[in-house]
Amino acid sequence: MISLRGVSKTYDKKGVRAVDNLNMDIADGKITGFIGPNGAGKTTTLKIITGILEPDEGTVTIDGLDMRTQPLEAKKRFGFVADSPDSFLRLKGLEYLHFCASIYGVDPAVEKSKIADMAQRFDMQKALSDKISNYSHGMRQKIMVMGALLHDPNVWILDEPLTGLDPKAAFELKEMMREHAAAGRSVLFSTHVLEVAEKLCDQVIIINKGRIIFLGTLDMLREQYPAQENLEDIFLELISHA
Amino acid sequence: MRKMWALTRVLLKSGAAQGYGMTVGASTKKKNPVMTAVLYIVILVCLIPYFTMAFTSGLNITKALHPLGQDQVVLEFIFLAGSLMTLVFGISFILSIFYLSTDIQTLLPLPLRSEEIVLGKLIVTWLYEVFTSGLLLLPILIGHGIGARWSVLQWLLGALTFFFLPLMPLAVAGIFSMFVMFLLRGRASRGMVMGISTIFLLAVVMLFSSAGGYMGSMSEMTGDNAIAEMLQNLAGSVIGKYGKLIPLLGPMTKAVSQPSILWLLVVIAGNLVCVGVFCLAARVLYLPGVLSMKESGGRSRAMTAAQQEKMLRRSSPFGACLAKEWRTLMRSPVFFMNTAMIGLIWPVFFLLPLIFSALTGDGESLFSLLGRAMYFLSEPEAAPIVVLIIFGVTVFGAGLCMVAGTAMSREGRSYTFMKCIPVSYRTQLSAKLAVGVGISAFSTAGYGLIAMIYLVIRGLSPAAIPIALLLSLAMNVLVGCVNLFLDLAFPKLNWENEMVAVKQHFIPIIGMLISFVVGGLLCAAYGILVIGVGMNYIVVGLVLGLVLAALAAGAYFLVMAFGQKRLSQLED
Repeated sequence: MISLRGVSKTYDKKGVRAVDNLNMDIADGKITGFIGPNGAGKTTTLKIITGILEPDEGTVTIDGLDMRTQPLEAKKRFGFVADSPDSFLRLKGLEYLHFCASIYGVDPAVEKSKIADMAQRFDMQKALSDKISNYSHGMRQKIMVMGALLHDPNVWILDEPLTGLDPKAAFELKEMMREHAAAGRSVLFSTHVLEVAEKLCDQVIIINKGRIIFLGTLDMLREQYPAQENLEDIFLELISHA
Repeated sequence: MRKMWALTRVLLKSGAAQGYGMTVGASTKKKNPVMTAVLYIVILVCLIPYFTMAFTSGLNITKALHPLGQDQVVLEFIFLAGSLMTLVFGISFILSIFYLSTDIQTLLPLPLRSEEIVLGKLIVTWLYEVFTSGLLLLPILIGHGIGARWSVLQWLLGALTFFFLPLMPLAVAGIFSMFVMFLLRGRASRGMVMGISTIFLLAVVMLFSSAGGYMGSMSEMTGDNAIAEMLQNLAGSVIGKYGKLIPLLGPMTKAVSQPSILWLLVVIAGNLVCVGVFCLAARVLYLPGVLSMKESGGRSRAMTAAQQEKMLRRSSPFGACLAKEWRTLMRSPVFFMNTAMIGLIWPVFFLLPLIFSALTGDGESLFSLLGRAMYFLSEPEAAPIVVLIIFGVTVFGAGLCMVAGTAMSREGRSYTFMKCIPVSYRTQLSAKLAVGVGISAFSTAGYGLIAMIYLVIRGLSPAAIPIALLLSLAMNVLVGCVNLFLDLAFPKLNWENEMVAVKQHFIPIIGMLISFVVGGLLCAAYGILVIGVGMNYIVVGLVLGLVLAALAAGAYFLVMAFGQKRLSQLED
């Protein structure tokens, strides 16, 4: 469960808010899609949730743990996949995964079986002994996803996780997201691909100019905009009036 | 050609220029103008000693050679040094820019001919080389011009010739690099290209080190006549030998020394011919090489159970951060060579000139000098001197070690990862500091310990060892903390190319200067008290060591407290 209360963030001195008074709850047992046009504040929000950015105002809690007062405990509760997978390029795939397991305190036996399982699902068994710098973009994305999920976090926070993944890996990740939500835990992911959100999400959050303009299930959204045929039309309608 | 000029302008203005050290318009983030001005002033102040030394060298050597009518040797030497430096470093540089830079993926699909892409990149690199060669060589050239009382025309021709100086060596380096990559087509991966680039750079460093021995043997001569004689020797040997590699050396020198516009036109024509050949070579060689470059090394083999077991041994968060830090540093040629290598292999650089001079027959005196020094230092009464030498080496070695001083900058944009993992900033920063201090301690206290054990076996008082180690280790921790503090305060995180984080980051130089000044003063204090006043070296060393240890402990707590606050505030 992720909760944001009155979260605001200003980057420049002119006082333009990148995100403005965000209030939302990402409930357990659901896949939540985070949608918005470029520069709407999606990545800023995810960075605030994960502790990369400090909000000017407001509080963020993960499973009831305040990011400001209990940051280390709160950080153990989520796994985060950033928008760029070009990190730790000098490490071998397995070294990176072991690094992640060590910093999250994963039991060695669990670590071994999780790595084997995810490597098989993402077809990465043979690549683990290679350096990440030798990986293609999609393989880098896969290893970052594996690293983020290795400690079996309750909350998944994924920034554009499907970018660069091949169809099989994208399918596997979507299946894993569904399994995770079905187990009563939460998934928050940002995407530009509305079809993915439409097929995958239990609820969506639409953000524009730093403000949440919709939070609810897709059915609720359709009820609000009965004239629009699909999520793309609804999205365009929402953005144009925001 | 219009497309090529458009591309060149874009490369200069875009972030792609960052890799060349030019960040014109690269960052959208507004910089604090006061801080920027202060930084430039500090950089200028730091460079003043070098500029002064280079300028006076050019002036004095020209004046010494003027009566012999040999003052153009200085000019030849500047042009030769500039050309050779650009040529040898250019190969590694060109490989990186032509084949590894991130903009290649964007440029290749554009409707540009291969020669337009590489010529645009060559021009940007050329401008960068003019800038860097200028920093190194222009003070000498200006000193020479004043010493030789150049006319206005000579100043003009000198500036134009210097402007064209790096172009031909870069074009040659480009042709060579494209040829190598053409031969390796289908087999080369990004990792392999980085490896080739590293080997070239290591070879160059070794070559310069060996040449240092030759120059060192010459430096034994003193006095104006000796300098004149040395430079005449240089004219006859170094320039005679290597000058043949640079066909435009003669025309460049004549264009300025005579002075002659005609020779300048020859220089320009020569450069244009070379660029023409470069373009023809690019048309044939570039695309096959770059298009067939593999993204991955293709080694992909599943690991055995034993290999996995070994790699997945349990480690603490500190151990994991330490291992990550160590691997990242050691596996990145750019990071390793620019921050750690000098510290680790400086004894090799010390030995190479000895071996080189021994091979050329000049080694006897150097070896006997070294033998006499070791004999003297193994005497029991030499213990205070040994401690001073170890401490002096520590000041020098710890100052040169840039590992802690670039620890934060090396993270680049991935520093955000540090902020979202459940490991305290203190633990992460301690791991960074441990790697930095560990390497500098190994390269100073470690080598010092080996030398002292040898000397103790030969008769040195064993009491020197703990005193020297206390001083050395405390100094290493203190310098590491200062350097990490500076890097945390002014990190260089926004880079595409690793070189920017370590080679174009000036803050570690400030850390080095602080270390040299403070360490130098402490060495002087020890020397005055022990050798001048005659106090017991154990007492002085112990007190100084404990003071240093206390300072190091204080610096550690300060850098950790500051680091935690700084990291929490650090934003994109």
